[in-house]
This record gives sequence, C-alpha cells and structure tokens, in this order.
Amino acid sequence: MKKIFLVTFLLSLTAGAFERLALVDGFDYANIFDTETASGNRQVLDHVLLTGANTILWRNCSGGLMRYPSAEERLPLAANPLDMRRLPDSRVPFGWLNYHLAQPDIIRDMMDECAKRGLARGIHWPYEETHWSNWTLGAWNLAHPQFWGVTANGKPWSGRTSLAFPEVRAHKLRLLDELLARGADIIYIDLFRNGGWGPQYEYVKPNIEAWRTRHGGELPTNPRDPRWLALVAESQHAFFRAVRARLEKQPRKVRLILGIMNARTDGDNVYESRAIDWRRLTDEGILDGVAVMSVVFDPKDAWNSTRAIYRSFASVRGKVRVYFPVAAYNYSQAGIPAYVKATGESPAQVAKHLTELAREYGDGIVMECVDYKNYPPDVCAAMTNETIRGAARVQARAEILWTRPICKQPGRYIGWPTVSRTPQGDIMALFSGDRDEHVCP
Amino acid sequence: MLRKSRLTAVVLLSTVRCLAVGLPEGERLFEGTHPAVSPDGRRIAFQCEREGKLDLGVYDCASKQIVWVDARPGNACFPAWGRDGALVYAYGHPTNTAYQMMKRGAYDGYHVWRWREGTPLEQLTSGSVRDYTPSVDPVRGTVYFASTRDVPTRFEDGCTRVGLWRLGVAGQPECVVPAASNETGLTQPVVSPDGRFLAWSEVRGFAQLWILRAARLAEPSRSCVLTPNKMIAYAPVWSPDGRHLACTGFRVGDPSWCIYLVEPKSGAFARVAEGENPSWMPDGRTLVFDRDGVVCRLELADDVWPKTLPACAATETQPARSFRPFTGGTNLMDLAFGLTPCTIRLSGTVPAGSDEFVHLFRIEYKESFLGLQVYLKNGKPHFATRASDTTWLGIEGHTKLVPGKPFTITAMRTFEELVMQVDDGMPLRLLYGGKEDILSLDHPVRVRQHPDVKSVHVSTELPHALLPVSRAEIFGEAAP
Repeated sequence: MKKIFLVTFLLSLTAGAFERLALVDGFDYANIFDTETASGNRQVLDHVLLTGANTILWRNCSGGLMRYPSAEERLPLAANPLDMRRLPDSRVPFGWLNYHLAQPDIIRDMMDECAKRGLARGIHWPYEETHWSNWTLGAWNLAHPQFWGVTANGKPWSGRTSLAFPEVRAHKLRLLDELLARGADIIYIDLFRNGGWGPQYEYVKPNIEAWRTRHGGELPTNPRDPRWLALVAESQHAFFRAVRARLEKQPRKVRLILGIMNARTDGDNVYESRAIDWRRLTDEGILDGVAVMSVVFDPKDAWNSTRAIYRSFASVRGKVRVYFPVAAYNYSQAGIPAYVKATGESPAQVAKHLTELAREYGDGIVMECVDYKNYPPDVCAAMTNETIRGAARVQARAEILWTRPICKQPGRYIGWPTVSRTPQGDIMALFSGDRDEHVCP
Repeated sequence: MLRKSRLTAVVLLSTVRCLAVGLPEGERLFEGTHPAVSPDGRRIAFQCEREGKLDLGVYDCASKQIVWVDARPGNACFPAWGRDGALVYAYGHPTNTAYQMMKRGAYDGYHVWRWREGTPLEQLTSGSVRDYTPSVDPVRGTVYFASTRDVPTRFEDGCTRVGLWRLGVAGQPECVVPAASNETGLTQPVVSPDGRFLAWSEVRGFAQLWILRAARLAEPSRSCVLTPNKMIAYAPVWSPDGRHLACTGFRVGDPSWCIYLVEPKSGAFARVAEGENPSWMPDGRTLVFDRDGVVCRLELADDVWPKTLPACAATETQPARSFRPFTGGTNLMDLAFGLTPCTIRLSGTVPAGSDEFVHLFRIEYKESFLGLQVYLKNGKPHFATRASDTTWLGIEGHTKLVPGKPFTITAMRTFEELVMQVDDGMPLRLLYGGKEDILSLDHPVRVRQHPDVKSVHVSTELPHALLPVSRAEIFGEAAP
C-alpha cells in the first residue's frame, strides 16, 4: 500500500527565500495600541503582517530609551525625570511610556511570538545612543563621561560615547548579549540611524594616541581627512568583528545584517560619514546581509539610475544577502514619495517597481519603518507575491541551516522527497511514504 | 533600615579604593545618591534604589541610623531641606500604561512632596506634569522646582522643555524662568543663602553641554553663564557663605564625573573630588556627595579652593552701533563676514502660507547653499546657520506668527551662540556647545528675500540688548 504524504512545514524563512524585512517599533504605535502590554504588541504585529512581511525586526531602543528591562541600561532608572540630566518628553502618550517596566518583557515576548507564527525574528538596532534628543540619552553613557566623543576643538558631546574605547565596545557587547538572550536570530544594525554621530566626534584619547604613533604631528581638523577616516574606521571595524565573534558563539545561527544608506555608484556615503568600511566587512565574512535603506537616484531618470545602483551590488551579493528598500517614508529623499514625485507613478506602482528590482538584484526588500497604515493596502498588495507571480528570476543561494528528520515512519520505508516553495514563501516537502520497501515508483 | 552588613561592606570598600588621578577620596558613609545635608548638619537625606524603585531616606550622622521617610511604591527622589527642617522632594508612581493614561486623559506625573517629621506626607503640586529637583529659598521658604508645566504635548510644537517654577503665596505654581526653546531644560534651581541670587543648571539642544546659569532673584530672566566653555556642569548648590557653588562637572581628561567648585563672581573653578551631586555641610568646608552609588564625605583642604579671580570684564558688552542697511544685490560683499559676528534684522508682514515652509531671507554662500537663513516653518520663525561641517545650527521660535501681521526678527550670530528675537519678545539662544565650529561665510553668491519682507538690515555689530549678560551685571555687588 502506497500513500503520498504531504508534509508542510514552515521554516523560519530560510535564507533562500525572498525576504520582506519589516523594521518595527512599538513606540510608533503607542497612541494606537497599548504597546506596554503583550496584547497591544500582538496587535502591532498583526498590523505589520498586512504588508506581507516575513522577517520582523523589532526595535530595541531609541538611543538609551530601552524597550525592555535592560540590566545594562538600568541605572539611573530609565524613566523620566529620574535622571536630572535628561529632558522629559511631554508628548502624550509617547513621553509617558515605561517599556522597561512592561510585563512580560516586550522583546522576549515578541521574539517568541514571531517564532510561533513562523516568522524570522530579529532586532532593529540603531547605530546610535542618543536618538538626537536629550530624553533618550543612555544611562550607561551618562554615567561614563570619560568615554564621550570629542570634537576637534575639544568639546565633548554630552551623552554619546566613542567605540574607540574598549570599555564602550564591551558595553555594547553586553547589550548585544541581552538581545541574544531574548531570542533574536537576526541583528540588524542600522547605520542610517546614527544619532548624528560621525568621525567628527572621534577626537578621543585612543584615537589621538593612535594618530600620533602612526602619523605624528597635528591632528587633522577635517574629520573627512582620509587618514583620519581610516583611523576611526579601525575601531568601528573592531566592534563589528567583536559582534561577529559573539554571534559565532551562539548555539544557533544568528545573522548579522547591516543597514546602509544613500547608496550610489560614485562613492561611499557610509564610509565618508560613518567611517565604516562595510565592503571590508562583507569581504571578511563578518556580515550575513547588507540592507540598502536608500539610494541616491537621479530624479530625471529614476528607474534606470536606481537599476544602476542596484546592479553595482552584484559583487556584494556573491558574498552576502542583499536587500533593497521599499520605504514608505522619505527621510532620505529616496522613499516611495520621492519616486512618485520623480516618475508620476502611483505609490503602488512605485512599490511594485521597487519590489521587482529587488527581486532581480537582491534577496529581499526592507520596509523602513512599518508604522500604522503608512503602507496602504494597494502598496502592500504591490509588494507581495500575489502580484508578482512565478519564481524569482534570480534564485538565492541555498544555505543549510539545520539537518534533521522531519518525518519518520518506524518499520516502513519512505523516500523520493522533493521540495518546493509556495508563493507565500512556505516550503513544502513531498515524498512517497507508507511503503514496504524500496521499489522505484 | 539599611542592613548592617551593607554598611560594613561600604566601609571595607572605602579602604581599598584608590583614585588614579590623585583626587581625595573622602569617607564613604552609606549606600545612596543625591545626598542633601540638613541645615543643622545632623542629618543627610538621600535617595536609594531598592527593589527597582527609588526610596527616600534620612541618615542620622550621629547614630548612623537610616529612616526611610518615603518608601511607597513609585520613586521618591531629589531631596532638599528647608530651614525649618522639612524635606521637599519629587515623587511619582505610574500606575497605568501610557495608553491607558491617554484614554483617561490624565497622566501620572511627578510632583513635589514635603516630609516633616511626625506629620503625614504632604503633596505640594499636582497635574499631568513632571515637577522635580525642588529646593527651598533659605530666606523666604519658597519652594522652587523644575517643571514641564505649560509645555506643548505635540512633537511639532516642541515637547521637550523644562522651565523653572516656584510655589506662590497661595501655593499655586508660577513660572520663574521659562525654557527658551525646545530641547532646553532648566533644572535644579537653588537660591543663594542671602536670597539674592538664583542658580540653576541648563541643558540646550542636541549634543549640547550642561551649563550653570545664575540671575538675580529679582530679575531671573536676565542670567549669565557661570561655567567655562567646554565644561559640563549640573547640580549646583551654594556654599553656606554664598561665595561658591559646588556642582557636578566634567572636562575632557577627567576620570569621570567630578565635584567642582565655581566662584560665580569671577568664574574661577577647581576640581576637588571624583563624584556627583554635592551638598555642603554647615561648616562650609565639608562636602557630601555620591560616588558609585555610595554617599561620601570630604573635608576640603585649604589648597583645593578656586583661586579668586578678578570679576570678569564685561567684554561682551561692547556698544552697539547703528545698523548698516542692506539694499539688495548691490552690496552683496557686505555679507562676506567670514567668522565675524553679525546681526540681521528683518521687518515686514508675515506672508500667507507660512504654515508650511517659507523663506523670509536667505544668503547663499559658496561654502554652503544655506549658509544663513531666516524662515517660517509651521508658522514658527527659525534662524539657522551652519557649522564648519555644514550641519544645521538653528533656533526655532515658540510662537506662530500670524499671516498678515507685521513682524520684526532680529537674528545674531556670534562665535558662541545664535540669538533670535521676535518683535520685542524674549531672546532665544542656542549655544553651539558640542557642535563643530561655526562655518566661515566668505563668499556670498546670492540673496533671497521674500517680497513681504520690507526691510533688511545687516550689520557686523551686535545689538546690546541681545548680548549675553555678564557676570559683572549679576554679581557686581555680590559679597567680596
């Protein structure tokens, strides 16, 4: 007797699937849902999934304003106005949130919830510690002024520390540990959100000493001096290398994705403004993915110039997965509104174009950020597979995440498996089972 | 009560700590922060984190016993004594989520409370606000505090501001000094022992420094900066003789937060210990402060006091000369002032459509397309220039201008700050602080002027009314 068993199982979106990364911050929904509760955050997740997102990257903080009870950012107590150096945020209800007191732990709970729903789960970690404003200064940073960034003219930046100090790198790694302990399988570090930091604030003792040892003489007053950029880049690189090492020690595979901004074909804004050599990070295998969060396209030739920029990532894609933006917002003048303005197309048409380009040149899209109803239904439909039928024209590389039996029939013979991916991204296995022995069907 | 074992541990710790920079260590007393010494010097109020919340305790210096005066659910913090032996402090206890509070229409804020031995705790303020860092005028007994009262709740309107308030005769809060602009906080107000001066800490804008300011209590809106450029300072407290302020400070090179002494009249300062949140013992020679979560006591040696300097000359108060009129495109080079301070004064009628974005006046430079600009955004006036790395430096006005109404905007750019005055209102100031140096503006390319701007005056002279207040103006008559 032969039976055909159909086994459907959701892998947490294997690395081979076309991914739709959603950057999500419960904070942005605080006036819509009660995001200090588990049910409120589930409502947020429900809303986010309307976009077709299959990878959820939940925000852990804005600067030092934590979304979970962080031991590292605990003292002084995180709430306003308990540290007199912070300015209270009077916005209602945003300025009155106490995520660090929420029960259950928001990050842990949402990581668990994503796993239950078969979603890839991770953290959207901004590369910042201040989020621009004084109400989000980190507690650790406030307690350690000796590690603050300093300008060329000797003025400290009150509240922002420098990764040139080993103590700061260790602090950031402890924060990383907290995220990993809460179940994050992806760490997405967002270089767009740098809180205004740049090499101009890196005139700190370790860098000054390194400069004098290496070059001697006066420090360059121009923070974009190539030699200064190279020097600052070393401590940034050391941090990412340390992050990778930390991830390698995890018992599970944890991916590291870097969000970069203002991609263009004639230069590298990330290196010039952040002193982070992301290409070197990909070459050295430190990254698993690069998410392009915005591109500097030519409004007079929007699609061709965008295509040219995407095409320039071909060599990167050979090493890491690459994601391209479908951004509802226009912070970088490169979101859907900018394309609408440049092309005269509707938002849905723009989203469709961008998704198609991402399919052609990348491994997924990144939605930055999914807030309440900022991706209208027609835009969501345009981004999903239902309107882009058929298999991806460029298949992603397979990556073996785990090897284990998914179906056993003790005393029977099963075999001849094959797998396929549905348009929704589910992976289905089909095999011949309930057999007496190996008989070629 | 603090457990005996914890006290023992603190004492043991004190024997092994050695500060690398050679600053005196002081005697470690007990676990806690934000100490406040009572006027008679016999007790020290403090806050301490216990079980994830802040409780308020009073340490008896003779018996070394601690009494917890407010250990309710919630946070009790920032204690300060009055002359009458009562203790004021801030207390808050969020009992609902923010969303629930929004639905309810009222928020669990922080308020000023008073503890007096043997009587029930007394709530002095209320409302959906944050009232904190209270203190008591030692002469009049008036309670001063920092507050978010009257601060807008919309992001567009500027929602991160803190001003200085006090409780009036009838117990009603009244504003003493409003925050000059968004992202500005005035906190920790303290009245001098003679009741003549008010000092406070101020934080301004993104990446800015905390600085100390002071004013005559009779005219608190005119204040001067007490701390030197590049020094960060907060938590000021007057010495018993009123000659010095102790504060928490930091300068690049310091091992961490340190206790500084500042002489307000001259600006002289000295670093005396590593720690935070100082308070004076009545002898005027001993400081109590916290370090690493432990309250410490330190008698100051004779050689650590700031060397008294002559009162600062009022260099900023050079007389203003008349404005030189700008007449359009013929004398563009007048606007090539490089790094020289300059002033722009615009008059006209507020254009229609100013609820979005309207440039009133803009000078384009080779160095930056937006080198100098005055504009309206959401109806509010803005004055902006650029730092040397061309990042935006700007001031946002508080109040929307009404289309069709006449206006005058005076904007001043100096080495240290931007100042904007709308009509005859209070000048708004932005210290550059941690930002980069200001951009040199040497090569004007084009001037843009809105047709509703009827007159533009540009000058490299600075109007007296907008210049910073000097120490001499505030402390000229202070005690020697």
